[in-house]
Amino acid sequence: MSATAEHADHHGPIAWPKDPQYGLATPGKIAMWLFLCSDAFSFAGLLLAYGILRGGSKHWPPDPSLKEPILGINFTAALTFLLICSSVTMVLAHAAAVEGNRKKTAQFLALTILGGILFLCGQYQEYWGIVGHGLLHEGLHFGASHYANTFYVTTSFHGMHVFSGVLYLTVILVRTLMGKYDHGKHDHIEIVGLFWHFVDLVWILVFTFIYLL
Amino acid sequence: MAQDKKGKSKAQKKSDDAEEKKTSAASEEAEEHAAAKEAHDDHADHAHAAKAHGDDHGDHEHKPNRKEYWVIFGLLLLLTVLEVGIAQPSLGISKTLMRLGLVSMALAKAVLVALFYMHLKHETRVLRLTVFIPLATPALYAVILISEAAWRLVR
Repeated sequence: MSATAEHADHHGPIAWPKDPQYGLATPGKIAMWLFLCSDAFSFAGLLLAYGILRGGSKHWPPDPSLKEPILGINFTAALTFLLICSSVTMVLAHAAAVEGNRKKTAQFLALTILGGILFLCGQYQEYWGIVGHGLLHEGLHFGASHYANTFYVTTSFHGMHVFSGVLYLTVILVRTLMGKYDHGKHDHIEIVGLFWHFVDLVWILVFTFIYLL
Repeated sequence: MAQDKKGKSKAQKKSDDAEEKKTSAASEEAEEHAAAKEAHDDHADHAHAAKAHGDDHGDHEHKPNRKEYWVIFGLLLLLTVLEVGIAQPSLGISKTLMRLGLVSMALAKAVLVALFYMHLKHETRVLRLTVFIPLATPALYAVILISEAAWRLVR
């Protein structure tokens, strides 16, 4: 009886002792943060390369004679909005998980996954064009210039993160439906959230640096 | 001991209710002390006192605050609209000013996501520093290397 009372009272890992430095952050959470730091360095490397190449070019796009298309801002702004929304559904999924509401958690996780899939569709549209012409048909060819290369490498690397994030979220959704995260064991939902918010955070920077500047 | 734990979780709840409390150095020290010798009753009492004063960070799980999430969502949206707005070439503001504005707004958005959606605000100071200090290096690199590349161009 007293055990269930403690369950109701306590959210999160119960038996974990408090660390003097990291408090109650679980090893999984700390490890995700360390991974995200190293992942941030990967993106930082790509954005740095972009910054250096652009900073060292007189024009951007560097070769006007190639007639490379200017990146569309409005469509990508909509994609940014989509990712921000999916970040909100992610925190709401976590909030529902903390409250022990399995159904709501699963619904919000599904919405988050939907946001990720729509983002990937948007990126497909941008590259290849489902409606109208994609950048590839408009003359932005990989290998043609620094402009095209930095654009494709950075955005596709981010797209790969969205894709793996969707897979990761799907696994967590299935496990949620199996009831693995009931009774306060929702640590994994917060951790997948960290990854997903990171992907959103990186997109905020990519959007500004590659598209808006 | 079980009794003790229960009492503590109540104290934690109380400290959770009181939002935004500063970590005083004294209570932190007392806590570390207590964490090391938790078994000892005298010290456990000491920890109670420290928690009642409310070291709000990393102590216990933070309860998600939906209102806060929506406020942050509004801010992110507002900043995105502002960014797209000032990026329009028709506005005719100076390029330097526009770039400065865009970069600072993007960084502000990134920090908002990290602090609130990724709950860094509610983690311990050590975890926050573990994340923020390494990320200062690419920023430093960016300033040095990009200005170097630009300098070569105008030289």
